[in-house]
Formats: sequence, structure tokens, C-alpha cells
Amino acid sequence: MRWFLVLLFGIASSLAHGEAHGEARGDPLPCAACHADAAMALAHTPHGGDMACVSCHQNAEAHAASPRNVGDMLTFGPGTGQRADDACIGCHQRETHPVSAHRRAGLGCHDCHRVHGEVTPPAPLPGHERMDAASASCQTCHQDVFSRFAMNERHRLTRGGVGCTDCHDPHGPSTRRFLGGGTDTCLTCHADLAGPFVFEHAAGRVEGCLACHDPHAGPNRHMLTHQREGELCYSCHAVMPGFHFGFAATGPPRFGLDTVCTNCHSTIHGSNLDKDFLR
Amino acid sequence: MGRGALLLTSLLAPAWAGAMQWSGSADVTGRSVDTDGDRSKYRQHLNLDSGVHLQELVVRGHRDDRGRGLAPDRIDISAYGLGREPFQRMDVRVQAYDRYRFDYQRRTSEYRYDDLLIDPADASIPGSTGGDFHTFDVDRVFDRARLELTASDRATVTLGYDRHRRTGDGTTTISEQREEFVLDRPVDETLQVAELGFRYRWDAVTVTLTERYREYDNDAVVALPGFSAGSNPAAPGNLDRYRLERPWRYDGWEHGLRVQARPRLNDGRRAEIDLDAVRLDLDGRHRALESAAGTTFAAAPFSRDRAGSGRLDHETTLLRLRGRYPVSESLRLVGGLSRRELDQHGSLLWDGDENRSDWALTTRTYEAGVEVNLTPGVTGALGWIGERRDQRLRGEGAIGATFETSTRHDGYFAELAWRASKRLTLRLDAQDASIDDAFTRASATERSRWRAQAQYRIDDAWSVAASHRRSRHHNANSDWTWRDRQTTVRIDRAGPRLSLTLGTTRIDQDREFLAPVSNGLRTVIFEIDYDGDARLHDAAATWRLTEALSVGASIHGLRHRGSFAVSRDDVRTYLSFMAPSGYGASLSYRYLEFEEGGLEAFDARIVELSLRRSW
Repeated sequence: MRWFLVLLFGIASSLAHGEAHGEARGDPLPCAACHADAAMALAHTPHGGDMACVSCHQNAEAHAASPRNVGDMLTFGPGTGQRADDACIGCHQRETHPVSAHRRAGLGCHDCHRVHGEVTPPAPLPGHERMDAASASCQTCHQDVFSRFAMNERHRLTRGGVGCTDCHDPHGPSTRRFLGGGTDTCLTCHADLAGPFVFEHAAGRVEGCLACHDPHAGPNRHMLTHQREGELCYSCHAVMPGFHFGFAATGPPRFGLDTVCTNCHSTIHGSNLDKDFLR
Repeated sequence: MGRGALLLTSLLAPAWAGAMQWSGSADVTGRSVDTDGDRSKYRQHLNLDSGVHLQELVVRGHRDDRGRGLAPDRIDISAYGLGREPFQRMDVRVQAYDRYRFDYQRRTSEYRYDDLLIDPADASIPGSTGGDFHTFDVDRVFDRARLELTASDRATVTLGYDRHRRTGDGTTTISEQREEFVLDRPVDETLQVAELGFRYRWDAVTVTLTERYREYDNDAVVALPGFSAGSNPAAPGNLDRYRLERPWRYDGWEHGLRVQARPRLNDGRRAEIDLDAVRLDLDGRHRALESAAGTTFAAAPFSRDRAGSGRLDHETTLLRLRGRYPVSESLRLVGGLSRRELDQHGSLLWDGDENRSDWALTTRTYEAGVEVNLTPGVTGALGWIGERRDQRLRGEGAIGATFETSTRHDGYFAELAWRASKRLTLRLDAQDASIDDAFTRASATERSRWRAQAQYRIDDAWSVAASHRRSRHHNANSDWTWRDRQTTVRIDRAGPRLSLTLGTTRIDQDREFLAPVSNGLRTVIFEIDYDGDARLHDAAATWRLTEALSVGASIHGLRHRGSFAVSRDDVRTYLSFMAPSGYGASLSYRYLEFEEGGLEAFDARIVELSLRRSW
């Protein structure tokens, strides 16, 4: 790892570029005469400097000639959807995805991003004060999901332990439940559980972590889809060795829905030693 | 690494400071905590300590003109909870527009877990219902550093380094001699990822090449912390000595290529096409050493030493193509297909026995649909999604069988959004899918979700939002059904003097399943009939008495009913003073009451005094 880092920073230092790129295009229209606040706010962002207002607000000539006439100028308001996105995509090719859950919902770049400087995110819900700013901006539309973070057991989003974008790509398609062999989203934090292992828990390897876990929150401490662990395990494991039922021919089985199966199967996510996850 | 980034910034900042305008704030907080009841549960849920810490530090610097050379145009530094908080965060961003951007982030988290949730009177040691004996007392530290260099108008180089360390103590259980023994399990693992990326942009095409090197180490040890009398005094099984070392590590490369094309069509609109190809190749090694001695379940002495080792080979390949084509101003075709392959081989030589496992998984997904703007305020989407998955497991040794299955998954999605006015927005969306043969009996063969959302801004101060979601998962093979319904309503008032928010959520869940479990000789029906609900209420008010003085209060309540009940009430009040000079102080009182299953309960009283300075 060290040699690779040395190599990386060697490349970095050789590429360090001292001068600003891109010629100042200047603003062909006197926008700042009326929109001084917007122009000032823009100056302290990456869009300041050599970006002209008409780079984004296309077809502004009529408006400049007659301020009451917005005409066909691109305003990034509701309903400007694809046309507004096209204006952003010209430069931000990398940040957009053709298939996106947000675009499917009719949202454009400007529904989440503000280019004219800082935006005060909506006031956090009670108990959500430590949430990161990106997550706070998701709250407006996804109140149903955020409500779940008030459940007893949850990813610590509201205390700043994780953020929405740690797991979700807001520009990409919705996170798929059925990703065979895909535990990538969870791997960064839970590498010890993601494997690879010699003996894999097939449910996790094939269907991913969501086969057993609810990733936002739930009443189970391990955020299992069932509050009692035994209920979850018995949902799939219909056949088991005899001693699980005890050694009497009749009577109640030794193990039941209250059983904490992982007290014996303690490496349930996968093991390099035991196919039954006992070691 | 965190100290290094701060040191570097503090060394460089004075040199740049003259040209920059600085603003920021600092908040130092003293806290007093008084708790009653279950201390371990308090640690698990809240884990706040008495003492003084840096609650928040925000520093922003920017210059009005554009800098040259290495001089940044903007510096942002923020830190939260440094000192005593269980979740701490520090972010540094140094940015020179069009030249470079450096980001560094450190997050540290403390996690405690101790969840013995059974009344000792009801515990059955043979039935393993004595509770969950796994405990954790671990710290996570994430370091993320990223440097993006603009090498030319078109080329960008990205360097990144991520490190995740998890260390601490824990306990786990080992089944030995038909008994469960609680053992120490120290935690020590490190994941490091180094990244080199190169991006080149033409007018309508961007190509990104990414190389990542990943390295993971886990020093897994399980050991008896001394003499143990075993978990069942009535049984003779006992351990005098036990130690299991099972360290494992892997490393390898990830190669990524992304081509993003955004060609402009004749009518000026842009089509979008993305191609992704990612290959991950990990090589792993593991070894194990187990040493145990004690008394067997038949009251005979035993002693055992075993050793083993093996290799892991994990390869994934992802190919993905997605596109978006604007047919007209109001109609777009979207679609995508992907193929993901997993090829994994594991081997273990354990106590002279050879074991092998070989996994092959191929998943192909398809998606096609249309997105429409019916009117400037009404948008909709309709499409089809499908997936084919083939999985094969071949085993030798302990897994002496081959499993091969294929599943097919088809469904649709539909969305409708109506921005009726600047005040009213309505959304409806539905997803439905069927899977011909679920891999597990608990996985769905039919899955549907319906959701309706409404937001209405009554006037400049008041607004109301509501949503209702229903989902249903059903497995036709096992007749297993899981239903989930959630309703959320929130009312907000944002005024210059008085701010209010009131919210309520109700979540109902039920699962029905008659699980026939067999041991070959007899079959027992486990009736899984879960019917639970959670009610969440919150209210908060802030009243600005004068320009400098404000008071506020909030209450947050949870009532959960299910396999066991959970209740939590969290009440806070505060008084805040902020002088025009930039100095301020606030005093807050918080009372939290928690109870779980009628067994574990705590309450906490927390007083905080914060001193704030902004500039």
C-alpha cells in the first residue's frame, strides 16, 4: 500500500498545475446591473470568475432588452426539466446518469442544487441536528424514510455517523434490492461481514445484505427484518439436524422462535472454517 | 492522518490568509450527565459523557478575485463533536477553482452493543433463549482524502486514499461440547483503498479511467478470558482453555472504465449514453489455529489442537450500458442493461481435511421506459424492469454438493408528479415485481410498493406535508407474506419570531408464515405471526423573544409494539443568547426515558452549557 501511495503523490506533484485554465468569457449582457446579489453570490463559487450568466440562462437577450419579458430565457424553475438539465449536462457530463430515480420522478438538477452560493438547508427535525448537510437536503422529499430513523435501532444518520450519500448515489438509479453477489454498498463499513469467505451464507452472497437486514432502521438491534432473530432464521431454514428439536421423540422442540440462533452460529455472515458458521 | 491534514492546513493557511476573507463560528460545550437504570443500554443508545468538548467549529475563507498558482480560492474547515462525542466529524476542503480541489474527511464513531434481552426467569439455557451474548465496544475511524487536479482544460487527475479502521473489544459465543461459551473477541481490522483516476473530456464525451488498490486485514481472535464454568451449571461440559486465531486478509485491484456521451441532437437537445466496465480481482489468504481443553458433555477430559489455512479468490465483472433519448421536448426514452459476474473460489485445509467452494453468479438486468412532461407541471414515468440470475455453488469436503438455480424477475414502475402550483405538489409512484423462484423462502416472489406524497404551502409561514406508503412482499413457495404500511404527516410554521414543527408517523407491519421445520423424523410447525406497529411523534418550537434571545423546546416520542415493546421519550428545552458582537451562550436541558421489553430501562438527564463565538 505504501509504495502505491508514494507513486500516487509523485504523479500528483508532477501534475500540479500553477495557472488557472479557461479564458474569461466575460458576460455579454449587463445582468449584474439588476441581479447584483446573484452575481456576488456566484463569485464565491466554482461558477464565478469566468462563467457568464448566459452560459446557463440561455436565450436571455429578450429579457436583457426588456426586463419584464422573461420570454424563452432558461430560468431553472418548475417545468423546465430536461431543458434545464441539458444546460448543466454540457459541463457536468460526469455527474449525471441517463437512468436516474430522481429524473424519473421529474426532478432536475436545480431541485437539489443551488448554483448561486450557499443554501441554508431546511431546519432539521427534532433530534436530527447532527445530520450532515447533504442528508438534510434529502429530508424535504423523503420524510417517510427519515421518520424511520427515529426508530429504536437505526443507522446513526441523525447523529452524523453516516449520511444518505454514503449508501445512495443521488444521481444514479435507485439502489437495487436484487444485486446478485453485490454487497458493495455495505462493504466500506462492514468489510468484516462482506467476505469473501470459504463458506458463505448463501442468502447474503446471492441476494445481498437486504435478504435479512432493513438498512434504514427497525425494531431489531441488528436491523433484521424480523424483531426476533429466530423468526427470521426459521423463515428459510426448514430442515435442520435432529438435536435442534431435542432428544425426546415428543414434546416441544428444544429451539423456538425466541432462540438467538447466532449464539451458536456466531459467524453467520460467512466463515473460513465452518460450513455451519459455528467458528 | 487527521492531525497531518490539520497541520498542513494550518501551516499553509497563514500564507494565504492575507488575500482571503474569513468567517466562522466556534461552539464549546460543557455537559453534565446523570443516568439511572441500565447503564449498558444507555451506552448503546446515547453514550454521552460529562465534560467539555468542541461542539462545532466552522471556518470559511474565500477571496474575491481568483487566485493563481497554489493559492486557494476557498477554504472550508468544519469539525463537530471533537473531544467527547461518540460521533465526531472533521472536514477540510481547499479549493482553487479550475486548478485543484483537496478534500479530507475524518469520521470517528463509537459503538456499544449489549443486548441481553431476556428475563432471567424466562431464560432457557438448553433452548438458547438466554439472550444475545454478543457484545461490542468498538471504535470506527474513517479517513478519506481526495485530490482532484485540473491538468489541462480537458484533463483531470484524481488521487484518493481511504482508510477504515475498526478496533475495540467484544464478546462472542462458541458452541463446544453441546454448550455455549462466552468468549472474548477483540476487534482489529483495517480496510485501505488507494485510487488513481484520469478523466478526459471532449465536447460531448467524457472518458474516466480509475485504478483502485484495495487491502484488507482482519486479526480475528477468539479466546477464553480465563477459567469458565460453562454456561449451564447442570451440564458437565466445561472449558479450561480455548483460543482460536483466524486472521484473514485480501488485496487486489479494481479497474474501471466509464464512457459518458452527451451528444447534442439536431434540435439542440442532448442524448445521454453511459458505458461502465468494472473488474475487481481480490486475492485472499486465511489461516486458523484452535487450541481447546476441558471436559466433554460426557464428563470426560478432552484436549484438542487444530490448524489450517487456505486461499480466497474473488473476481467480479460489471458491464453496464444506459441510455436516454429525448424524442421531443416532452418525451424521453430511457433504458439500460447490465451484466454482472461473480467468480469466487475458496479453499481450506483444516485439521487434514480439504474443503473447497466455488461460486459462480451471473446477473443480467434490463430496464426500459418513458419519461413524459404531460404539461409543464405534470411529469410521469412508466417502464419495465427485468432481471435474470444464474447461481451455482460447487463444494468439496464439508460442502459436498452442487447447487444450481436460476431466477427470473419481472416488474414495472410508474410515477406521476403534479406540481399544481407553487404551493401544491402531489406525487404518486408504484413499483411491482414478480420473481419466478426466490432463492430463500423468506424472499419475495411478488413485491409491490405504492406511495403517495403531498406537499402544500398554505402561506409564507405554514406548510403541510403528508405521505402514505404500502408495500407487500409475498413468497408463493412458502405462502409467506410481509405487509408494511406507513403514514407520515408533518406541519411546519417558519416565521421570523415563532418556528414550529409537528410530525407524526405510524408504521404497521405484519408477517404471516406457518414454517414447517423438520429434522427428518418429525416436523414442527412454527407459527410466525408478527403484528407490530410503531408510532412516532415529534414537536418542536423556537420562539425568538428578542433579536438576541430565543427559547425552544422539543419532544420526540416512540411507542413500538411487536415481539417486545419499546418506548422512548426525549424532551429538550433550551435558552439561547446571541449578542450582536458575535458572542453567545445557550443552556439546554434534556430528559430521555427508555424502556425495552419491560426488562431494560434507563433515564438520563443532560444539562449542557454552550459558549459560542462567531466572526
